Amino acid sequence: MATEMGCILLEDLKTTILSKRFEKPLEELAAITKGEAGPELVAFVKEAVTKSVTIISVEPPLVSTLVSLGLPVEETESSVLEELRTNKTQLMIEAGLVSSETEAREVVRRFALAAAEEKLREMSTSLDLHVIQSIQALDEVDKTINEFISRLREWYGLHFPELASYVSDPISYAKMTLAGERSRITSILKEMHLPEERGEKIISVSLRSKGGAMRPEDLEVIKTLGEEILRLNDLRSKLTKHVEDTMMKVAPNVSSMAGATVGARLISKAGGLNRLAQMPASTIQVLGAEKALFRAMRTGSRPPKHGVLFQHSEVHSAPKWERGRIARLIAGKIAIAARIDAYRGGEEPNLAGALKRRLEEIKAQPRKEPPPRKEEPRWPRRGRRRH
Amino acid sequence: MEEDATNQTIIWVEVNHSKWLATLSFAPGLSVYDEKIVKRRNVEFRVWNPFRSKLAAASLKGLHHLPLQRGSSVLYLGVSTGTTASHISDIIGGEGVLYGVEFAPRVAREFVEKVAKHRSNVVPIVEDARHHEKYKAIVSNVDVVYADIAQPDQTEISIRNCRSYLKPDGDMLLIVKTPSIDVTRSPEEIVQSESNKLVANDFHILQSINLEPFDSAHWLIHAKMKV
Ligand SMILES: C[S@@+](CC[C@H](N)C(=O)[O-])C[C@H]1O[C@@H](n2cnc3c(N)ncnc32)[C@H](O)[C@@H]1O
Repeated sequence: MATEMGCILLEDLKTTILSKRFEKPLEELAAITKGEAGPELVAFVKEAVTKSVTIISVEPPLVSTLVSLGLPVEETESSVLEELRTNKTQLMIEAGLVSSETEAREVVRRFALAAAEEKLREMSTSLDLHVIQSIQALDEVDKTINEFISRLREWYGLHFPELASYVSDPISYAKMTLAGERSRITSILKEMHLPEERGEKIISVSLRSKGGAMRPEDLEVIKTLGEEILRLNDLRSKLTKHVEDTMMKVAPNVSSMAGATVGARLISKAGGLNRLAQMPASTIQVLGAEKALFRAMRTGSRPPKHGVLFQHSEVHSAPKWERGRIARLIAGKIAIAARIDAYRGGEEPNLAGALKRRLEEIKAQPRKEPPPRKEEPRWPRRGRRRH
Repeated sequence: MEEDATNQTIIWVEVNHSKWLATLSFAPGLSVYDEKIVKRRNVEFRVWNPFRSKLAAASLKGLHHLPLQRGSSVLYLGVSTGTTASHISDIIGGEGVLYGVEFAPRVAREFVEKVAKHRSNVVPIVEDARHHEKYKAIVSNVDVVYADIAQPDQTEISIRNCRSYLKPDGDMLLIVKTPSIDVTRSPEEIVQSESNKLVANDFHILQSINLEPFDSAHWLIHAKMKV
């Protein structure tokens, strides 16, 4: 059994056969929590094997690492684990890892303190920088997926041009191209559990397709491209999840006001959580629309009503003429949320309720669509325009 | 609880002509927030401010039985900067242990620096209470689970933590912040539905207390896990 002090090899869950204190308990435990085995633990298990033990049962997360090193281990049953956990202190004393209950407690506490400080240090090395990197990676992956998809549509379209108009979801489309020959699409459709009717439709279209024949080597490359898209899509989900998880930790309030990905984009555009926290709501409202803003200042056209915030579901689902005021409202709440996240930490649940109420108020008194406006310069042009 | 009781970790004190609860300081000389420190029989007691600590508020609002005493072990979810936790640490003393779980870095740091480092019965855990398996190496089974994490799914999170760490017949103290669960339903309805969830999960409810006027829209539910 692995404890924060070291390892114990037990016979019949009682008698200690071998025990060893960790020299670097933090590293070892960190590895264990990740489902890996640190060097000291591996050394211990290797030594245990020499004690003429036939099979060693270990904590479940450790099994795969140790098995891959060729060590004879199996998974400890959960009921046994529970028993070990309850008697841990006693077992540690008997194994000589600690001398008394008080010491055991103190050891656990010191370990927890060190682990907490380590974790805080890690988190304060600006988790928001990781938010920025992962949201940018996400956007890049998105862009690549889109480019690959249009290439795939065009290319596979030489063979099966009708397919694109029946499958709008790009990922489903990519999956279907794995079939290669359009005549082989049936089995893929089955695997995808498409509604029968749609599947049949696609099959009947494939029989009458006007697309040309294709060489196997072309189909093979197209298939690889399709697989690549699916892999990128997995990466996309991972990055999305990562952005969500990290945002929950670093900026839970911005997250609840803006949604994790939109919030992350705002932090990224602002250049960090602290910078976002220093921005007035009016700047947050147009973050990400800098180009339009500068153009407006230069040419005197109307300034943008929203930047990144356009992606907020409440903004883009609203009628066009309401978007400005909704974006303004949300930007105001995000400004408050960012300050709480940056300076106080912790979640402020009242914010979400307040936003929801204000949005409902706005929806309850919809404005009429204004008559089309003449484009007239709102700001006087400054100086001569340069080209 | 009396003004002069010896060997008590919670007493009543009179400060500025009104009566307050106070706890026997487990880290004399240090104050955690801006609480008043008073001396009785030459030992320090820290005034337990019901406007700052919901557990103090609940005690004043008629909590029948505070399931904390010398030697109790407590798992505290959402310990924040440790205001309430510091008083629990006072109450349970050197024989007790409080595991404080908090995932927000800024408040967690304050908790570690101002509370955990100075109190040998406090064990800090910087984790998300949703992932209770992450602290199983540290937490041993406890007498009380105290939860104040203001999350919409906090009852579910707390139940899972109780399943893993609460001793049979142990106590759960759950702070319910009604707007963080649902702004559209009335507080009473929410407290009722959260209680129902507990009952459906083999708890029985001992008491639920409205914390007005100390905290608005906050309730404390005291429940016991059936053996
Ligand atoms: C209302 S405050 C608690 C105040 C504290 N109980 C007191 O009386 O001093 C809620 C705390 O729970 C924390 N929290 C929220 N969700 C959490 C989670 N899933 N895991 C750990 N902590 C969480 C928040 O960061 C916040 O600090």
